[in-house]
Amino acid sequence: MLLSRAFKSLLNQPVINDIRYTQVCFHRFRSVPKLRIPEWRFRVERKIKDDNLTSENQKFIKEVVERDFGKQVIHKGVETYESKTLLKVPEIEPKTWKKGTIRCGVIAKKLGHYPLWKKDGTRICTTVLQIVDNHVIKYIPPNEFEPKERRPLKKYDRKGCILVGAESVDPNILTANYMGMFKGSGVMPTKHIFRFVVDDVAALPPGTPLNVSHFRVGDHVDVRGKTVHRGFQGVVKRWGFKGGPATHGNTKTHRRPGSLSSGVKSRIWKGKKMPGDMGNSWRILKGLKIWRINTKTNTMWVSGYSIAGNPGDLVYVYDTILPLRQPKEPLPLPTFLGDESALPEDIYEDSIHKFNEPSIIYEPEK
Amino acid sequence: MLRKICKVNLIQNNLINSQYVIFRHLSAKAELNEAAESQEKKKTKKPKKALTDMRFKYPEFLPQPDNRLRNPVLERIMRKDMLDRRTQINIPEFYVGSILKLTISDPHSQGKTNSFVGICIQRDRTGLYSKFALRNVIDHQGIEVMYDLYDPAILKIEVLKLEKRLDDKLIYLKDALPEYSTIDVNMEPEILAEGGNIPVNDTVVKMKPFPWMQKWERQGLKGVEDLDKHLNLWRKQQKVKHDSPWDKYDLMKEYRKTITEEEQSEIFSEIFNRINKINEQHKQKAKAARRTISKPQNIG
Repeated sequence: MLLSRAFKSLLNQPVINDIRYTQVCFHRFRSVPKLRIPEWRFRVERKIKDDNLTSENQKFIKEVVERDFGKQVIHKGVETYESKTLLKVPEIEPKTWKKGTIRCGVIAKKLGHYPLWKKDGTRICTTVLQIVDNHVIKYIPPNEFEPKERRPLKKYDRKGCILVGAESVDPNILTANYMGMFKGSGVMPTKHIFRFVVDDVAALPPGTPLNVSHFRVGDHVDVRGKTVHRGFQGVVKRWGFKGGPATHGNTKTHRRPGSLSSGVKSRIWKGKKMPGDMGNSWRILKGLKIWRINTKTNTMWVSGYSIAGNPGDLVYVYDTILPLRQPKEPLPLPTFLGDESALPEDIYEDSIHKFNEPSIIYEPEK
Repeated sequence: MLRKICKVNLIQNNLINSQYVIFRHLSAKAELNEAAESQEKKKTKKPKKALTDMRFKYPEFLPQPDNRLRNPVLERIMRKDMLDRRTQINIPEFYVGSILKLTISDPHSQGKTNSFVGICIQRDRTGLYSKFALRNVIDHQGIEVMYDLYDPAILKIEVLKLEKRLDDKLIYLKDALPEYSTIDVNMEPEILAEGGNIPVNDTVVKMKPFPWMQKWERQGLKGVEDLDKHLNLWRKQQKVKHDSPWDKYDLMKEYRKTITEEEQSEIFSEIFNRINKINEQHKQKAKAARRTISKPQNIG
């Protein structure tokens, strides 16, 4: 008891934050890849200082946030604010889809792996992607859209751009510049923001929510993500070299690359595979089929285990560009505009065995 | 704190089925003062025994314990799908060491069914990935088959003999004498009284001479005879060298393997009502099936 009282008295004392110390920075062996902020985006989080706010003041800030943006709720499995007063979704006219038109993409979260069985008994490997509270923030028409990074590319000619935000967040953390990006949109400030290059036909007004009904079961999809950062790796792990033998008098050449070039050339070719920083780069997996959709939690089951990133990381989902996996029926343009509550909770592909169906029996061929 | 740790070790040693322990007696909440603790005891109720015992009966409903790979939304969907599958077939309670009969539809013999009888050697993984292995010796040939528990091709799972063994995994039966894993294919089911404890079979197995599949002497097995007579001097020395008797006192190691008590009670209270309904439906179906068979018609 005495000890606990002593600890209590220690805890009640005000914490001293004014201690300053000099930090000595040595020259590093290898520079860690820098986090680059793209030109079109401002810094998201502000530098948070300890303002020593009283509990009453903290309550007051919470009240202001709730007044402006609504209370905290869980909507389709994601924590958000119910920003009813802000969102005014305008009416959108449906348009006919032609082959080759590029629609808006979607920001999703990789949840994990999931097995599914087909009706012929084979098991397929899928990963689950959850679409996390997406809203359109801004549309930039093609005559105003001039990306500085890749202007000479033909790809961006006569194309507009849609800014999409995901996961609304407490605005106390954000910078003023970043908050300014959301000003006219009527959308609550979001944690993540991304832009999709889009045809003029597929334009979306700000405030429209993007749900999983944007996609359909049986269609194919491309998924872009950042690979796992593995740090400085040797040549065996990074490029799959064979290495040297373990025994038979070998010394110090078990995982080495061997010779780098021939004696005639007497220099090293450009692009020679060598040790270095591995991972932390963008990769796109193309042509993944959608097997199942859950409209209640905004999730979709996509084939394959090898989508880039760890579970819990963000990925970006587009329609495929592969020519042989284009959809046979026209896609909903610009998004799905029907009544979403009328959709069933689980939508399966035709060849998938549902879990509440009776077990499989193979009937003999006649 | 010290008192609590002592208690944990005592309870651990008494548990027989330690593979799915997944049950920590330490609370995940931060330590409280004595006065505050007594107050909280009044507020919070202890989880019921029926809930906490479900971890042995339905171990696959607990998610895998690595916190980096977990997601609450995905787990909830997976639990719902598992219960949906359970409405179609009766997945009974069984343990490592109990004898099962499994019938499955085979794509290579269409219009027929395939059945296999054997001891359950191991149960692995969780969720829809959960699987188990059966072993039997047929015509002097050892056979092991691995099945997914939630495979839709499975038609029926029957428990012929419900019992536990001294160990978590019986993989050592591969190197034991074949008489320990031979089971009659036409065996009839032994029915246990409801509500009683599940019997523990304490047979001690004799091993074949070398070569072995694994280094069994290092695994601390209880259901195997003294292995020293098989070992030479070098292997005895290596056994002592690689032994780590302090592992069972490592609380952090146990924490990473297991799921907290509070979380378990949440999971099982979510599925408790529905799973009991499903079990009752299967019981009624079985009763109805028995009645029709037991009334032969008198002729003349």
